[in-house]
Amino acid sequence: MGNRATSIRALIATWFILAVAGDIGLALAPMPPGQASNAASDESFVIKLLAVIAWPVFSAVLAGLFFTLVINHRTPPQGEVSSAELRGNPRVQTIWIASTLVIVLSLAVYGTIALAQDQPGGGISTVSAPLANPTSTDQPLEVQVIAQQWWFTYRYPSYGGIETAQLVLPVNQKIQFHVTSLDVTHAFWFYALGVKADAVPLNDNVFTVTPTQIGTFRVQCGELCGLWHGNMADNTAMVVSPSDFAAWIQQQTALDAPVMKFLPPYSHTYVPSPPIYAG
Amino acid sequence: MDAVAPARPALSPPPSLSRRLHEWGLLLGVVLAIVGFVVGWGIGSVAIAFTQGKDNSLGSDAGILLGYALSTVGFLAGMGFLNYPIGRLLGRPRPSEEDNAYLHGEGGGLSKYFRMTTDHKVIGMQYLVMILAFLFLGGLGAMFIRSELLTPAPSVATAESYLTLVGLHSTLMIFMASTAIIGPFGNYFVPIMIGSRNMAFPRLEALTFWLLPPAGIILLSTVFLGGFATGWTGYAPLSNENVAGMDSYLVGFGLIGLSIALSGLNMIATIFTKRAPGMSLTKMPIFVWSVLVTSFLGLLAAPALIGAVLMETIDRSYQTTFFVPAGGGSPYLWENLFWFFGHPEVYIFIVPAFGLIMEMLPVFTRRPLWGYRVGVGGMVGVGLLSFMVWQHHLFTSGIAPALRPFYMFSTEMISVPTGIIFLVALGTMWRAQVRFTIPMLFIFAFFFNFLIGGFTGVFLSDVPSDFTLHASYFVQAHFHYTIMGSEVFALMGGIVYYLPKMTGITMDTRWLKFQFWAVFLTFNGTFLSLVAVGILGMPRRVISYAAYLQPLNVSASLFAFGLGASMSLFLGILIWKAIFQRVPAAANPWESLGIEWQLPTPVPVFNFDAVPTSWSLPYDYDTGKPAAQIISVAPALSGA
Amino acid sequence: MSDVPIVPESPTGLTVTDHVAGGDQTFSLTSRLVLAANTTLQLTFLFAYLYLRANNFGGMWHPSGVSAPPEVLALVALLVPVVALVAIWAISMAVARGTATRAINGLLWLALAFVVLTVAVRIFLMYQFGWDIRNGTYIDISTVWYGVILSEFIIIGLWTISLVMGHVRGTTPITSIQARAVVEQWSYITVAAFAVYALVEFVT
Repeated sequence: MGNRATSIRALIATWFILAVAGDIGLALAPMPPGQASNAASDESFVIKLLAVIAWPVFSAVLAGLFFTLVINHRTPPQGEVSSAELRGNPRVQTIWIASTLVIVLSLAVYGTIALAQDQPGGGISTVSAPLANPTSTDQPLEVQVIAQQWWFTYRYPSYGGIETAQLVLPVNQKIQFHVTSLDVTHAFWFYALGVKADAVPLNDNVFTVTPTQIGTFRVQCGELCGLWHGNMADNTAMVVSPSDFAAWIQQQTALDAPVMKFLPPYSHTYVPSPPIYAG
Repeated sequence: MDAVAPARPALSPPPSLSRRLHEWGLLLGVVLAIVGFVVGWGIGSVAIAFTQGKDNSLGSDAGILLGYALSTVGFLAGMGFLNYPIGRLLGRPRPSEEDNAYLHGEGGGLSKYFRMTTDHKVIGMQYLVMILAFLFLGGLGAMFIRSELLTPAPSVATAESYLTLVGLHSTLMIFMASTAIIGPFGNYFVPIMIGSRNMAFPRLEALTFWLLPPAGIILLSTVFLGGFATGWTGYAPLSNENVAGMDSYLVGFGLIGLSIALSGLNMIATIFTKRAPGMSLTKMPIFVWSVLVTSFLGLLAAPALIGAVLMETIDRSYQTTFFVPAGGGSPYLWENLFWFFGHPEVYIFIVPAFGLIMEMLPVFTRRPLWGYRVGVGGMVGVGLLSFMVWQHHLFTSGIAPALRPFYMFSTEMISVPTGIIFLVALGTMWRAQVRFTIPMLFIFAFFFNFLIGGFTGVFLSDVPSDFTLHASYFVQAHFHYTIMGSEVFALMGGIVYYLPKMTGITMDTRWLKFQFWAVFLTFNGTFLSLVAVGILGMPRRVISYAAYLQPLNVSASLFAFGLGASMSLFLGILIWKAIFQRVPAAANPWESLGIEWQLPTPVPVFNFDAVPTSWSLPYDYDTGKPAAQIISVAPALSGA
Repeated sequence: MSDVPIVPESPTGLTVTDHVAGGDQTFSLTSRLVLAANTTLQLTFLFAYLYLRANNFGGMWHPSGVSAPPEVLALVALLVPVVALVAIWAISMAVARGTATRAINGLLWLALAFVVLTVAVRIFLMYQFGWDIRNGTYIDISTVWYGVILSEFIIIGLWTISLVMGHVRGTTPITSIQARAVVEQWSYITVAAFAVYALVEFVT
C-alpha cells in the first residue's frame, strides 16, 4: 500500500503543479478577442477567467482517468471495501454536487454582474430619434449597420444620415450600433471590438461599445444569410483619431451629396420593398 | 406412448393475402411511393392553380410538399402499415395468430429485415444499418466541405453546392444522431433488460424505423430541386426565399420529428407497463433509465418542431407570413420554436450515450456501478433542465437583455447534473483494474472528448464570451466534441460490445485497436484545430474565410481526411467481420452480468421462455450475481 | 423467493396481448402520454399566437377590416363535439357497468353520427372564415390552429369509428379502458377547441 500512496501523492502533486503552471500561463496569455474596445476587454477577461477555472477541473478529471489507467494497474488497491462503499458514498456525492453548484453559481452571478455593469450588449432599442452631434465622448455616437444580401452599409444619423460602404469610428468614443437588415437574418460581427449583433429585418438590435485602439480591422457576417454569406466580409473597418474621423465624415458627406435625395430618411428599421414573400 | 407433439403447428394453411402483400412490401412500398408522389404533386399543383392562378403551379411548393407527404403515405401503405388501422376501421377481426407470427418474423430468414417486422430485435438491426448509412453519407459531405476549406477562396465547390453540402452533411448527421443509440440498442435491448417479451406497441416500433428511409430519401432529393441554403437550423426568412429544395428539408425533418415522438411514446409505455414482476424502477439497468428520460424529451419536444415546420411549409406554399416581418411575422418566432425543440434534441443525442457508457463501464472495471441513484438523478436533472435553456441560442439575436442572465444561469446549471456522469464514472473506476478491451478504449475516449465538449459549452453559456464565440467554429467544435466525439464514439464502442450478442459474431481484431487510435487522434486533431480557428474569428458555414486562418484550416482538413479514413476503416472492419469472415463469438465474451448476456444467442424470438421474477441490478461484480436467472423451459407440449 | 416461470400456453408461445399492444395499463398510460404531447403541440401554437400578437410586427397582426370567424357558426362547431362527447361518455359508463352489448349499439351509432358531423361542421366553418391570407398574421395563426384542431378531430374520430365498427360488428367489443381513453382524447380536443375559439374571437 505504501507504493500506492506514494503514487497517489505524486499524481496529486503533478496535477497541482500542472494546474498552477497552466493557470499562470492562461492568466498571462493574451486572450481573444483582444483589447481593442471595452467590450472586447471584458470578453477577453471572461474567457480568461473561465479558462483559469476550467483548467484545474479539466486536468483533475484527466488525472482521475490516469489514476485508473495507470496507478490502479501498477499498484493495485489492497484491502476490503464494503459492498455499500463500492456502490456509492453519499458524502463524496454531496461534496461533488455542492462544489460544482458553487462554481457554477459563482460564474452565473459574475456573468450577470458583468452584463449589468458594462452593458456590453444591447437589445431592442429604446432610442427613437437620432442624436445630435455628441458633445462628450460619453454620449453615444449612433451608427446604424444595415445588412443585406450580401454586404454591409453604415449610416451616421448625427451627420445628416449619410450612408457609407466603409465603417470608420472615432477612438475612445462610445458607439451605439443599431443593427438591422433589409431582407433575411444576418449578423454584424466586428471581432476586434467584440461586437456581435444579429441583423433581423424590421428589427433594431442595439450594441454599445467604446473602441480603445486605433487600427484597421475585419468586419464579417456572422449568421448564415444565403449563398454568399462567406463573402460578406471586408478588412476595411477602421478606428481612427477624432480629427481623422471628422475629416473622413466631411469627405463622405461630399461624396454622398448627389445621392442624399434618393436615400430613404433615416429610421431604425426599413421595410424592404417589395416585401419578401415565401416560395 | 404418445409421440411428442410439436411445439408449434407447421404453418400449413396457404399464406393469407396480408402475408403475401407483406412479403412484397418493399417493392410495393416503392411503387406506391411513386404513385403517391405523382398524385400529391398533381393535387397540390391543381390546388395552387385554382387558388392562386400561378402559371408555375407545376413547380409550386404546395405540389412538392403534398407530393412528398403522399409518397410517404404510399410507401408506408405498401409496407403494410395501413392494414391494421383499415381493418379496424372496417370492423374486421384482429389479425390471426399466423399472421401475427409471420409479422413477428417467425420462420423468416433474412427477408424479415427488409419488410415490416414487429420483432424489436429485428428493428434494432434495421436501425443499426440505417444509422450507419446516414453516418457515412453525412461523412462524405464533411469530406467535401473540408476539401473546399483547404483554401480561403472557393475552389472545389460553387456557392450553391457548398451550402447544400453543408445542409446535407448537418441534417443527415442530425437524423443519425437522433437515434444512433436508442434506435439500435434501445430497441434491441430495452425489452430484454426489463424482462419483457416485446415492446408495448410493436407495429408502432416498426413504423418509427420505416419513417427513416423516406426521410433520408426525401432529404437527399433536395439536390434535384436546387438544394437548400439554410443549414440544418432552417432559419426563416432565409428559408422562405429558398428554391424548392427547402421543402425536402422540411418534410424530411418533420418525418424524423414524428419518428422521435412515436418512439418516445412506445419506449415510455414499454418501460412503465411491461416490466417483469420483480423488476422495479430501481432495479432497471441505467441504460433503460437513459432511454426513459430521452423518450420524455422526444415526446414533448418534437411537437414544437412539427408545429414550426408546419408553419414554414404553409408560409412557402400559401404565402402566409409567419416568419416574414413585413407581413406581421417574425424570424424570432422560428428561432424560439426551433430551439425549444432543438435544445432537448441535443440531449436526446447524448443522454442515451451516457446510459450506454455507464452500462458498459462496470463490465470492464469489474466493479459495481458507483452512484446508480445519483446517476439516474443526474440524467433526470439534465432532461428537466434541457427544456429551460433554449434561449442561449439567441443570446446575440436581439432578445430583451433582461432575459439573458436567466438563461445563462440555467445553461450553466446544466453542467451540474452532467458532471454527475463523470462522478459516477470516476467512482466506478476508483478501485478498478480496467480491462483494456476495445469498448473500454471507446469509453475512455468518450470521457476525454465529452470533457472537452462540456467545457467548451461553459464558454458558450456565458453571455460575454458568447458574443465572441457564437456562430463561430468554436460552437462547431463544441457540438462535434459532444455529438461525434461522445455519442458516435459511444456508438462505435456499443457496436463492438453488442455485435456478439446481436449476431453471434465477434468484431474483435487487432485492426480495431489501430482504428481506435486513428479515429481518436484524427478526431482530436481536427476539432482542436477548429476550436482554435473559431476562437480566432472564423464564422460558420462560410465558403471563404480570412487568409490568416488558412494554416489552421489546412490542419483541420488534413486531420479530417484522416478521420474520414478511420471511420471508413471502422465500417470496413464491421462489414468484413459481420458479413464475410463471420467468426462466431463466445456466448458472453465480456463476462457481463447483464440479463441480455445470460440469454442464448441468437436471442429467442420472444426473448424469454420463462420470464424471471426475481431481479437485481446487473452490476454485482463483487459477488458475481447476474441480473436474473434464466430458466430454459422444455417445449410446452412435450409428451408424458 | 423461487422463480415462478411464466409459461406461455398458446401453440406459438404467445398470447394475444404479446402480439398487439400491452394490456389495460399500457393503454391508459399511452392515452395520457398522447395528451402530454398534444399539450406541447397546443402550447406551440399558443406561443405563436400570443407572440405575434404582442409584437405586432409591421403593424400587420390584425389590420383593420379583418373580422373574427362567424360567432354563431363557431359556437355550433363547438356544441356538436360536446354532444358527441356526451354520447361517448355515456358509452363508457355503460361499458363499465357491463350493460348488455346490444343496448349500447344505439349510443354507438349516435356517437359515430356526431363524430362525423363534428368534422363536417368544422370544415364548413373554416370555409366560412372568408379571409384573405395576405392580411396579416392573426389570420395565419388562427387558420393553421383551427386546421390542426380539425386534424385532431379527424384522427381521434377515425379511431372512435374503428372502435364503434368493431363493436357493432361483434369482432372487437369495446372495453371500458378503450372507452375511457376515447373520452379523455375527445374531451381534450373539445376543450382545446373551446380555448382556440375563445382566443380567436376575443383576444384579437
